[in-house]
Amino acid sequence: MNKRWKTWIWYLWPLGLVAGILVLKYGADGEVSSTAGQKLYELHCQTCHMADGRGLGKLIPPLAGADYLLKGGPELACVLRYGQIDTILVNGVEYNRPMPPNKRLQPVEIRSILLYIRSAWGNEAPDLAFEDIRAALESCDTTSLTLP
Amino acid sequence: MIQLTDYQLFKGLLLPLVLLPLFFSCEQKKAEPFPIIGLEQITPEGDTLTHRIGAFSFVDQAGQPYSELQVAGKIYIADFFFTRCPDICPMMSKALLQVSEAMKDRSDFRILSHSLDPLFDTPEELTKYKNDLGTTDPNWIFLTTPEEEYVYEVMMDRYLLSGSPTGAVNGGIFHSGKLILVDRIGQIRGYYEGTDPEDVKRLIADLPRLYAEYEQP
Repeated sequence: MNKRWKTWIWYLWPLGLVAGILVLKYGADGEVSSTAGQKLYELHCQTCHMADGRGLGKLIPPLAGADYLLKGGPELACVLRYGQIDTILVNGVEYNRPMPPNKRLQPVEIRSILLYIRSAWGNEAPDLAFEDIRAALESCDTTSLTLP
Repeated sequence: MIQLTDYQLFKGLLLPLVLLPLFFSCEQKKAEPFPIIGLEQITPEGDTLTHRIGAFSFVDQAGQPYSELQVAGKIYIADFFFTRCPDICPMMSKALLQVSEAMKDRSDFRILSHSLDPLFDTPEELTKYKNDLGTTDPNWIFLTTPEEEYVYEVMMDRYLLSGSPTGAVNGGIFHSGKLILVDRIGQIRGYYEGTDPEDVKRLIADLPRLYAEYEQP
């Protein structure tokens, strides 16, 4: 009996290894992870802000090392969902081209994206609480944001 | 239990590991010749005519007329974009910045960026876009036209791309992110995806090859 058990272990250990790798790679279910944020970033943000977060000239502001992003709070969620038409100052440079809205983004997705862009490329800004983001989204001042 | 000596271990495991990459690196990938894209036409005399971009007439970012005569005998990349484009255009512009940098020493090279939003993208707007992009490359021309339909005709009938001014995506304008490689006599020799960094690398590697095609006897 003991020997048969050992044989089974011999056959099954690769399965355990694969499962372990998958858990490490994709994380535990339901967790708000930076990986999810990165996927959403690639889908919604990357064509403009670029994979390295450096933006494009004076057309598109950088996210990497951007004071606007790093010093901002939950109200940044409004920019992600509703876009922006105001002229903004990022690291002393003016950017005045509108950012389009992403109205279908849900609060949990917005939190994932913010978590990712505030911690990628050497950025180190604190995670924003889900409740604060949800509250901010309910009181966005849409006068300075891209119209629908 | 078989005991392996260091030499056996070396011969059996390490040697193939070292030699295999060498073997593959020697196997040279033969570069494909450039296709000539588009439908050929047969003249009544029986001559075959390849598809050419042909005559066009735009206005550049300085407000000056720009026609096919200015690219005659040159190799150029064409693309279609607009300054208010909310999604793929920044990546295309970034790709073209790399192409522009790689080709800055060639006087017989051009980049033609056509606006698909020509009524908004006046020469002043295009100049501003070029400045904000941070390029001063004189060989990178931004083109507009007073007739909105014209640029769509050129894009579809000459450069053989699809697009529409009334798409539901891309800020109301549906268009392709392709960069089009055009040779010295106006033949389309390749399409590259401006939003795919790998394809942009392929384009930058292909350009000297297309120049070399003219240098060979």
